[in-house]
Amino acid sequence: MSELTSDHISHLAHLSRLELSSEEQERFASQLTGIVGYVEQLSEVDTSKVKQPLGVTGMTNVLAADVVRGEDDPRTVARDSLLAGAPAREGAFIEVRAVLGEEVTGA
Amino acid sequence: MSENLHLLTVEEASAGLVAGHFTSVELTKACLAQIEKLDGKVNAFVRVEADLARRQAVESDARRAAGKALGPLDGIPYNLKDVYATKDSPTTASSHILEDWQAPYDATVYRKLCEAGAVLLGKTNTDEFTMGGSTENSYYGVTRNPWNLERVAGGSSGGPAASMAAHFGMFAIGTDTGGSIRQPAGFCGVTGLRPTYGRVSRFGELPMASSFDQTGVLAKTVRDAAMVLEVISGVDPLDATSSPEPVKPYLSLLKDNEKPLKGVRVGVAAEFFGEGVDPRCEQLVREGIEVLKAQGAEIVEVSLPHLRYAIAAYYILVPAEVSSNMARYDGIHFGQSIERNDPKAGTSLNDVYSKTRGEYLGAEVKRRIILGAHVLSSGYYDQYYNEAERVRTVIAQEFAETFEKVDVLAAPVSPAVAFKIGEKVSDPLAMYKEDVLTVPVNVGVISGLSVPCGFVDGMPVGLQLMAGKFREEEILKVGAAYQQVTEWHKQPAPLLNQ
Repeated sequence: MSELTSDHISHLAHLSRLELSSEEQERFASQLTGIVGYVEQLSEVDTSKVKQPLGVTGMTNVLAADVVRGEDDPRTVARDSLLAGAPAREGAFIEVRAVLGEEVTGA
Repeated sequence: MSENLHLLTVEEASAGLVAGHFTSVELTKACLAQIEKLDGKVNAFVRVEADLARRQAVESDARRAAGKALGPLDGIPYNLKDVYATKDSPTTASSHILEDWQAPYDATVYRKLCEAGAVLLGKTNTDEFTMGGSTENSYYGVTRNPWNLERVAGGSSGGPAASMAAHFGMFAIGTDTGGSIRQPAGFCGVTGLRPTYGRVSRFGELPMASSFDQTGVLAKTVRDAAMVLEVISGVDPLDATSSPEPVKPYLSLLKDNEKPLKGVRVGVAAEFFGEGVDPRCEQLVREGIEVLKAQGAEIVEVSLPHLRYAIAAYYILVPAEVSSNMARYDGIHFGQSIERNDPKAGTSLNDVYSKTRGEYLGAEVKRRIILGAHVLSSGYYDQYYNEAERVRTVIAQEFAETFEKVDVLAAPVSPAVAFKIGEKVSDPLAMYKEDVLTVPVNVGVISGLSVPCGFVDGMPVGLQLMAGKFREEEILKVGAAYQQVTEWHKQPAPLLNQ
């Protein structure tokens, strides 16, 4: 059974862009070790006959008609109402902090 | 006349409106009064929309007076689990990160219910982003079970289920990713239908695990669930996973005669009655199966040897999908953000992401994001994610083969009755195992129904019925035949006598 360390949790949290306290990291390390140990029982199942995993819908290539919906179509969402949810914006843009150079300055 | 209107079923209320015995406004007022009276104790609602409900009820009455009623749900009050985007009311998914979030569009389910004339009473409680089995993971407080306020209502659709037991309206719309309709319905002694994946459009339903999530109905009777399913089902150009499979006239397919289950084969698999199932619950479920036999059904023993692996496959695949779906809560596009509330807390873009998510997401959501990132990370991907997909395929094939021999499967919904609030919060694995009898439906891409079948220690027990892909009419038929000759679904929760 594989043990998940607090350091590994910290690495996953970084990849997930999710800040965790050291208490959370330790708690998750212990809880996830238990959960992963439990799900590892899947290795008992003989899956050698499964050629292709299940597609849950059984459908392929569902395409939408290539037409522009008019502004009066009830399904059309106005740009302003979508942008209204953003915490920082400038005109028709969402404002974010500088991206370039971040790994250097933000590390 | 307006006395106790909230106790009516959809079918009764609909007939009463047609006959002019009462108006939608009177019906709606009775439901709002019941919510006002008891929801302080239950906490089924995240938000009650009294003004909206009254307005929709007035419009319904006007349509009916003009001879333009829209169908059987016109004027019928209901609630939505708080995971459906609605322009008329904020949507929170019971998360801090969506506190006060106003959706800019309507979920297809809500649009269809508006077009059918139904009256929205408000949004009901869930575990945060539907992650949990007890509603204890809601940022807005736990929902209490109307049968015993010290016990959970189940989850994640604890609010919708409790709202039916407390008669806060005629039906509720919920989601079921791993049992989130059937388990709380079982815990609260109400009827819960989880249709096949793709039966109901998921457009505007805030996603948890996209290959499992499906909208369904919580109601007081199977017949009501059939009526509502007919309205909300169908293909939707806004959801590419919604199915073009024709919608059936579910209610009119239900028979009401002497031996309604003559010719119906009901499968019973020992794997659903294994270790961990309370023998008293098992006894009630087996008595329920005897009732089906008396109604004409043929009982067939079957075996699903891989069923026991469903829960392990589920808790790999679902967190993997969660870790991807939750990426949208980034503090940039919408929802709560340190950028809005505490801009000095971070200096970089990465800070905005990680501090917003760290601050505004709850423990179970974080746990699943990390678990999902783990099973998807390089070096583990094939061992966990791909293997779980293959096991899922094995289980789905096993169900498909079983449904060549039987029309429905009968089993318990949960291993035991509703547990005490707080009992399992510190042990996530124990909480996950609560889903052991419900996740096979979701893993196997079939449909499931929960109907009340008795009581243990004064708490309701659920009988689970399962049918093959897009064979909802089979479980509805068996469930309706069961309720035709049993009274469990009519028992009032003790809270109602207060």
